[in-house]
Amino acid sequence: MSGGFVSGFAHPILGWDHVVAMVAVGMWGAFLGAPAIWLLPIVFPLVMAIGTVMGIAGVPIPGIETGIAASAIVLGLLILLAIRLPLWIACIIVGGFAIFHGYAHGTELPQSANPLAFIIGFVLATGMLHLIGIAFGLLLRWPAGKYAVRTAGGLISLFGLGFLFGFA
Amino acid sequence: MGFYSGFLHPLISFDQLLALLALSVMCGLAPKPWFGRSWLVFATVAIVGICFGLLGYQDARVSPALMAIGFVAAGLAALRPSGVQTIQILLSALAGALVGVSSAPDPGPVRDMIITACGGLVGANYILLAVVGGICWFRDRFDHEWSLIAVRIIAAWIATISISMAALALTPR
Repeated sequence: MSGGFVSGFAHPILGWDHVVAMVAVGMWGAFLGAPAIWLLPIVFPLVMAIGTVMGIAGVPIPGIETGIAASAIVLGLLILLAIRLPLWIACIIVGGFAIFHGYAHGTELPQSANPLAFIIGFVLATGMLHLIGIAFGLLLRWPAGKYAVRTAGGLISLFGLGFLFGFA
Repeated sequence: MGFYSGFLHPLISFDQLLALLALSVMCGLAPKPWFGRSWLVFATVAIVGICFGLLGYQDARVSPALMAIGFVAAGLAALRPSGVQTIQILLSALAGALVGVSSAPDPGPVRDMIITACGGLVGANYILLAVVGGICWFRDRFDHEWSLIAVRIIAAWIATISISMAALALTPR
């Protein structure tokens, strides 16, 4: 049985697949600039809630781990290739991946000793990871920072491939 | 039983607290005349709700319904679509009714029940006014775009927590 706040907070942080994907959300938001820089961190938890509900309810969704790995691959590639998509498409992409992440948290919830604390924990950790991504993405203001951010995007994508093929 | 025990009830009942926080954030981001109207509706309907509660109306669906209201209110606060003032009033009325019903104390001497219920009403209104006041102060004190963004991100978190708890309440464990 998982515990409360600490377990919830640690759940996204201890899984590297969650970490890189959520940092990538923040970085891509920073790359796209306003309003995506703050709209993506709003859309992500809202849609993640739907995934969490599906996880709690036990609605079968195949390929959750694949979806989480794909989120890192796709978001990393979008940053690496400096792809600027319209805001609504960006929201759909991020929201779509958020369902997989939420589902993974949701399946842990029914076993939690203190579900409220667990939920608060994983929501705060998710927000913190977005913030880290945004902070790193703000390096784009400097020419060298652009290379750093795009390289980080490539690394995130590689991480995602590693998770997908079981190397990470 | 007692006024203070009733006053603390909305603070220690997470379903009420989530709904009140969500409603507060939604009202705190709304234009000022709409906050006044929402609060008036909330307070009035809460009195009606608590009367139903004192008369013995109880329903297990009240708790998940409160959290669902929390999700909708916080989600609207986070996304801030235009022209949702009517929905805001409706949500205030629903939240008022359900907070009122769930603030009704356990059966006991009528006088004690009424005093405890009054404490619950005051507590719920206190949370609403305090959080809205806090949001207004925060936005006045830090008059930047990011202060609005921060409140909207917190609203999204409240929405996520609310709907997850609602789902958990409705799912047999």
